[in-house]
Amino acid sequence: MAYLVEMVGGSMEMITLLRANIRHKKGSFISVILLLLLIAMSITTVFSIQQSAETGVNTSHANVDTPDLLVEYYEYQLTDEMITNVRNHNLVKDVQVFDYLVAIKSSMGGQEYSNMQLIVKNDGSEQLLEEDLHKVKGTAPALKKGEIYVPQGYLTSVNGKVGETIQLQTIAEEYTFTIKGILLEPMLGSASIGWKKLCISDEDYEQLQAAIAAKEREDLHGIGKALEIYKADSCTLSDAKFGRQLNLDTGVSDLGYGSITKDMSIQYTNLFPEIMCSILKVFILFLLVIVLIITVHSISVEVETNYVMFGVLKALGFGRGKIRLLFFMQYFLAELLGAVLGTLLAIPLVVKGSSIFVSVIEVPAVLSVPVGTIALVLLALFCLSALSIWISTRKVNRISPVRAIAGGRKEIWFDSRLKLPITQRLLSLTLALRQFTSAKRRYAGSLAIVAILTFFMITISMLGNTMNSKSAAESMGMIVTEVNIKPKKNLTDVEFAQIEAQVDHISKIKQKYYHNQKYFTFDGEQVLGIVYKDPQVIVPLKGRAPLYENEMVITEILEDEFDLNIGDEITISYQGKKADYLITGITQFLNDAGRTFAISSAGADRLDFDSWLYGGYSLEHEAKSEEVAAMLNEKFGDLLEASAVESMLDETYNIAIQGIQLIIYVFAVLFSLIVVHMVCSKAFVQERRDIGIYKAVGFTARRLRLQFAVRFFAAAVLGAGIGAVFSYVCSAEILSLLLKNIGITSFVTAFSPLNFVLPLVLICVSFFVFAYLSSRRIQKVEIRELVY
Amino acid sequence: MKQAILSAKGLCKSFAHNGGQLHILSHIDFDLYEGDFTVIMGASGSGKSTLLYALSGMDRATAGEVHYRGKNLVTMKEKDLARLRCTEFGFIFQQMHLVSNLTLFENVAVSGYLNKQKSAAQVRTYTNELLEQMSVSHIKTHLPVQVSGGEQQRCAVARAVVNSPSVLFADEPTGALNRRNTTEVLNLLTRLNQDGQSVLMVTHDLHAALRASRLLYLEDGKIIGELTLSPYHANEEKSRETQVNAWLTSLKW
Repeated sequence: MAYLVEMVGGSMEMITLLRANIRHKKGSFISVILLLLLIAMSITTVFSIQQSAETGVNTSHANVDTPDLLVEYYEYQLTDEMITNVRNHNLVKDVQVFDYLVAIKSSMGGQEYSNMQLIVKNDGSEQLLEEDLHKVKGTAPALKKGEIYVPQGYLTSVNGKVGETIQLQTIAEEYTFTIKGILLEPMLGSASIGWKKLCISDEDYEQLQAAIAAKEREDLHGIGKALEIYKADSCTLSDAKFGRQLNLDTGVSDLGYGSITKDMSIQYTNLFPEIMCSILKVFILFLLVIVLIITVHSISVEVETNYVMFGVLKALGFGRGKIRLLFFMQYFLAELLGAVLGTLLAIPLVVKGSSIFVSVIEVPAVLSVPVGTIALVLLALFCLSALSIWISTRKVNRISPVRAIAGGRKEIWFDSRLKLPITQRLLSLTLALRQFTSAKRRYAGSLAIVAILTFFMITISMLGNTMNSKSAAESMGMIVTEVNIKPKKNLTDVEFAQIEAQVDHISKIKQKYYHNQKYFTFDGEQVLGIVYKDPQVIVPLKGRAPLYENEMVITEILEDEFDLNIGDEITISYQGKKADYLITGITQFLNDAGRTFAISSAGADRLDFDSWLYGGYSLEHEAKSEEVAAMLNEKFGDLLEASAVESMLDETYNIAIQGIQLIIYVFAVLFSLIVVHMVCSKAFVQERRDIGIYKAVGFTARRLRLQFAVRFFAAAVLGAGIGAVFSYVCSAEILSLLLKNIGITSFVTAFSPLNFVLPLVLICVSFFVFAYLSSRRIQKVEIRELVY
Repeated sequence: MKQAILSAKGLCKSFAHNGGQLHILSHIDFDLYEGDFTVIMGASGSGKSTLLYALSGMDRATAGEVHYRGKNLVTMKEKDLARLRCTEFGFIFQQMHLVSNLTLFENVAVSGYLNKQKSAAQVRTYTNELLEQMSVSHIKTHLPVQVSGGEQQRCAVARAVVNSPSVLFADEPTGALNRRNTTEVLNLLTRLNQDGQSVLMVTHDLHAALRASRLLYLEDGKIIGELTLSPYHANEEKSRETQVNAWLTSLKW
């Protein structure tokens, strides 16, 4: 810095040259400003939006004072002794107990919600959200009979609105309520968490409780209690470790049928914003690489085209350090200006966009700008850029004042083994290709840039495609079905066989799944376990699916978290019963963000796991799903309830992925425009003599512009091809890294031709059109000016 | 009587300079006759090259008219001017200006291809013939940077005549060449002229000017002198030199 001040502070000559350079190369200067503006704007916006969502979730948790650990029990499972044990534990500050009733499913306007719902009394402590979710409305007023409060995550899942009616199905009967408001429920309110907490009036609660109690059996329960456990102030353990220790000491989670920690809830709630922002952050990183490439290219061309000027400057006594510093200042100033402008321009975007994820996190976002992080990222960007400028100006060292004064730089050697013949019929095209192959290095940067942009465009398109691809989802461990069945009793093998036979009459069953999932204690921690009637439907990444009752498969997430390997043994407990299982394979599940294991139903019997198996069928004729569901409901209505699966992915997520896709496409086109303009301007300077000659021998400006555009098109086609291949080969790896948080550790790609065609066409056409537009100077410049 | 194929009337050319206008050519009237070898001479900055560019349709005059076979180049569309440069005019630059990424053969053939009056095969044959005539056929696959200045300029001459232009313009074609190459190029131009090619050349080289059948002297953007000579013969060079020298001296050259 001192060097910089010394060099600039006392050197009017440097300031004069800097001003002249900027004036003379306005185009480059403005382009660098624009590139950095876009990057700084993206960095500020993406980081701020993500932090606003996270702060919103954390603030909501603080507002509601959510517990560090929530454990659900059926009434018969929870004893006073357990409550006392937990309350007296040295890691626990407080324990709250609340009663609830279980709604096994609910529906709104034909949309069904089949995850467990906890119906609680409106005790006056609940808070409501404004309907646009932008702020907390205040304490929830007392409800009247027939009214209900629901969290936004529920409304998102069933596409419902306040004022509409909801049907709650309990083990007793179905009840209808009118939604009066949106409950602020950060612990279970997010659409990414299955369980939901619904709030009804005391009067309704008493009535439902009586009805459910009358229907309870030994194998059918509808009344529960939950423990809200708060860590002691002195407890420094993470929520997961706290829950594990508490469970080891008291068995608090072993006896319940499910638990969730505050950290886990926050993680699940922030999952989608985090993934989307991670994708954008990686994209920004690639854009940064593009800026570095274009800066290096631009400097390199400038040194070449201004060889004489720099030689003269050297002859006048300017040292190479000063000349390099001149470049450094010129580009650094542009980058600094761009970064400042971009950060300022991001402010309205951040203000407007901070709430962009509210429909996913389901609580109000709190505008928050991570100034330190953004400053650090921008600083890193500047450091990288400074380094690249300094390295790329090394050429200046080799400039010889003698040669410069004697007439300029050494001629550029144009030759290529890719020399295609010039033909009369395709004169413009063959000339354009010759110009391209003769100056490959000039287009290498553009080629790399196109490859990067195309890679990202294809990858994001493919992500959207894969998320809706059944075969890819199956390969990634998702249970993909067209028809689901929910048993009304514990179905026998004979009954399952009868059901399958009837389904086969309408459409052959491609794959059948009978499974159930519950929380088990896995090496002391609550982990979701999936019990399969036939575990051979599991697609292992390593090893094999469980064959015997003492075998299990786990996900890579658990493998890493618990430091396990195939062949290790793990103790699983359920409701106090324990058994050891041998890990035979590694797989991936998206359930519970990949914190999941699977055993066979025979294996689950060792834990006295007596839950009913749910079913799902993947059909050969997918279109017949409605028909199959209707038939099953008609013929087996007393045994089960069947439903056709409409779409794999929630519409909210589809819209979000499409949104990200749009952002990436727009940025790709914007970057193409700036990059083409910059490279084109430099190429124009380098080739003005040749352009002049072509004009002199009779080529029209339009023809020359087309040749220019064809060259960039050729670079774009090649770059796009490389990007496409790279995307085909590497996108699975990159997406696996990005999507690890949701449990995808081995992403299976599902490319459709459109995933390639659209990005390729867009980028190539953009390059062609922008190059044609950027070369308009050919039209304006007279031959005499060109032929110097 | 000789027919004028290119004529200028009241030709003016000025450039914007420091907020004003810098007048380079002032009201020039000029005729180029078919089959003539006309040379324009003058001191540096007198406007010779500007006049050549304006007459050849490479640059537009600020005022006045330039007629070629009845068409006014000043009002012609850019597309038509480009066509004219391709089919009717040939141009030789002082710095050769061959396209650097094309071989010598391709540099010549491209102009032929662009014209489209001949088939590709005919263009190739004729290009080979021309390169043979210019004694550069043995290096026709070389890139310009791989050959000498004289060889480049001979190739540039071949390029200029590949479409059999009506007028061949040459802007100091020997300015960047050594004595031997200068003579070779001038011999080429003379031979072309003797075969009927109209040539308009700008030079300040006395030896080059001796090839002319008509000499014009330009000063401050105006033609101030004209000298008509008999057709060039190598054995008369000495007497021509004396004659031209005397004329130039009278013009304070």
